[in-house]
Amino acid sequence: MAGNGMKRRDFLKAAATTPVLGAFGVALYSKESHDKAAREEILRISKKVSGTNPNILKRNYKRSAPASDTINIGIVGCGGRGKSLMRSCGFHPPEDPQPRGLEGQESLNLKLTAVCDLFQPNIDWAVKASGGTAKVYRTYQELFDKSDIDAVVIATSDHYHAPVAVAAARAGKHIYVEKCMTKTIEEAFEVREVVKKAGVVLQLGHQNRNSNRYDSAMEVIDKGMLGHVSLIQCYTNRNSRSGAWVYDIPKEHGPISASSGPRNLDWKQYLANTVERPYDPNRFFRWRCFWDYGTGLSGDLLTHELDVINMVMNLGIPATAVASGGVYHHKEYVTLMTAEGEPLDSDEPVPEGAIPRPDVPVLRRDVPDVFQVVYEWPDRDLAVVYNASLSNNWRRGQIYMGSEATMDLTSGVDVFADAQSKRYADWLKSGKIRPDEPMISYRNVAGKGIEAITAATAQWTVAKGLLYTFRDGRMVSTSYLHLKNWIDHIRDNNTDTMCNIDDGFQEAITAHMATYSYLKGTRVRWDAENERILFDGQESEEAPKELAAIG
Amino acid sequence: MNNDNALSRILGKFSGAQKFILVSLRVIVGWHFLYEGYVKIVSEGWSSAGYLNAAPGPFAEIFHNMAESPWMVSAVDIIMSWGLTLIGIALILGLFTRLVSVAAAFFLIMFYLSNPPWIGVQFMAGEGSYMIVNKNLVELTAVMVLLVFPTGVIWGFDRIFVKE
Repeated sequence: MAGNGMKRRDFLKAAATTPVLGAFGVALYSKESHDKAAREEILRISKKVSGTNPNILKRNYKRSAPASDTINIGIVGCGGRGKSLMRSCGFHPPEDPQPRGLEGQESLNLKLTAVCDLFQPNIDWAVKASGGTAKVYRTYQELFDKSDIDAVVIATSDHYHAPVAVAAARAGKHIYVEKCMTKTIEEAFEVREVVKKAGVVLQLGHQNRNSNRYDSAMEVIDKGMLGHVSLIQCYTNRNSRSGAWVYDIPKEHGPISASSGPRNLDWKQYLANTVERPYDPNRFFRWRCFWDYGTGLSGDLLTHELDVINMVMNLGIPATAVASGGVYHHKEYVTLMTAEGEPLDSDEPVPEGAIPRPDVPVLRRDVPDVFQVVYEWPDRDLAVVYNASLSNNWRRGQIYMGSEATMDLTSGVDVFADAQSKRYADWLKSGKIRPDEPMISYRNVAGKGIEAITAATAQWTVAKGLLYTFRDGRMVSTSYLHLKNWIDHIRDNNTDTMCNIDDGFQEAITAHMATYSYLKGTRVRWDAENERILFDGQESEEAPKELAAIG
Repeated sequence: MNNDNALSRILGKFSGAQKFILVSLRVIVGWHFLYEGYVKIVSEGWSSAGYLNAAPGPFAEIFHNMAESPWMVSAVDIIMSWGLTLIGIALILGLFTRLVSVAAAFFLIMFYLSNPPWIGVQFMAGEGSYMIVNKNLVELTAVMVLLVFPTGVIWGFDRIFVKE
């Protein structure tokens, strides 16, 4: 008896602290129910009828056709962006490392059978990447006439987007075209008309639409949590040479000790639809710095902001645009090499004894590096302000300012109740929510290697959702998802892609309204009824003279 | 086991209050570990990579190198989340007290070194400001107390191993 008693007492002492685990479980349960109830209470406050934004439906497109048939694609323009798109399609030379963000994703089942580029090393790269299946065409016209492609990826300089897209549509080829969709307003009308008539599937290259943060952002807008949104602020800040489009001029351009001349590239064809000029490698390799070939901050970087704002808010083309800016920082750039004639990276510190490259003249850009635009939608009682600097890296945010709350899409989704909000007044008073802490916060999951991207421009593009997003906890390339969305629509014979021809038309007109306003020095109006552009105080409806050479 | 018996005899001579405080310390540290581990297991997509990458100080490079390899990050994630959880449960139950105290000390030393509040080191943004001593060091010291006073033999399942 005594022995048994001892054992029981021993057991009680051994298990003395076990009930603490039970207490832990009870505490956990009550904490989780409390957190869940608080979240549901915040989401329930919606006053708006949901489902008014058709863009929400587009986001979860599921292909119905099988992917068993191989689709032949071609690439026109296989420079920096073109190569990146080819990698996202699964094409890269065998010696290159595996592209990131494709692990575990479905193969698109494509065959790269045609390539057209004006710079020989780009052509060589594409042929290698295709595994030898790609045939080389010297002009895009020849490519559409003679190749066996079903679809084409267009990643040329901006001044060729529209001509190549129009030729592709006329040849019945499906189109993935980089932004900005066109270089002028006239071209936007032409591309829309030809693409719709041909019935081809077009995807405009705004891959950041696929970033999963917009699912949350659109839910917040759809539920009316912000109240009346009267102002949206968006921006671009970058502070590196490559961020300011001063790319390195490749070694293959030629022996850099010799004087300037076109080497390995087709300068004549490059200029075929713009102003005739003496050869200048800056104008070929750094084309974004010039109105002859690029679309400036509005076409290149503003469109990333305005396109997703259009998707989230379903705005369409603004009624008015006013823009201003100038070349305030990157006035001149001398391309340097070492005394031994080795090319130097424009973003690396300049070593002692560096001298100017004889094959590259001084770069003097004509597109602004500081730029701001105000757009207005009087029918929505809303203004959008964009401003940009290419000589400062401060993060400012894409911020939706509503009468009840503010949504910040800088690096995720954060919704802050407005300190003066009426709807959230009780909660603010009771301390349930605080104006300086988000009441809803959503983050792309950090980790799994994403922080290994260190270049400033790369970090910027990651934060903006331009490189990667997350699907099922995995880091996925947004370009892959955008290309897949296009290919899925081709297989289903459905033209309503993630960024379709109507989205593209709106994107192009919106961007060009800012450019035209800047170049003409006046406010630009969009006459929605007659679909035309008007310039305040100016009779002429012609494009600015800087862009007039196109076509 | 002789050692356990000796400890059991020594700790058995402590006053009720002394025993109660020591066992409470063990249970409270265990509770903290258990919740930290549990949260990491259930948070979808939680990863140590962000923390490892942000590590400042003289050992930063070691932690950054760990973050470079996806394989290493996955291993750290599993060790961290399940390690903290199991240590927490064991401390609460008073099971393998000395072994898990050593494991807990190891985790806390790593946390301390990855973000050392030393003079001249720009440490990660946190909830307080510290000079050499921070909460990790305080908890590490608490765990050292548990190691030298392994109360599992008084109130806890380590008592099973004590042969009278």
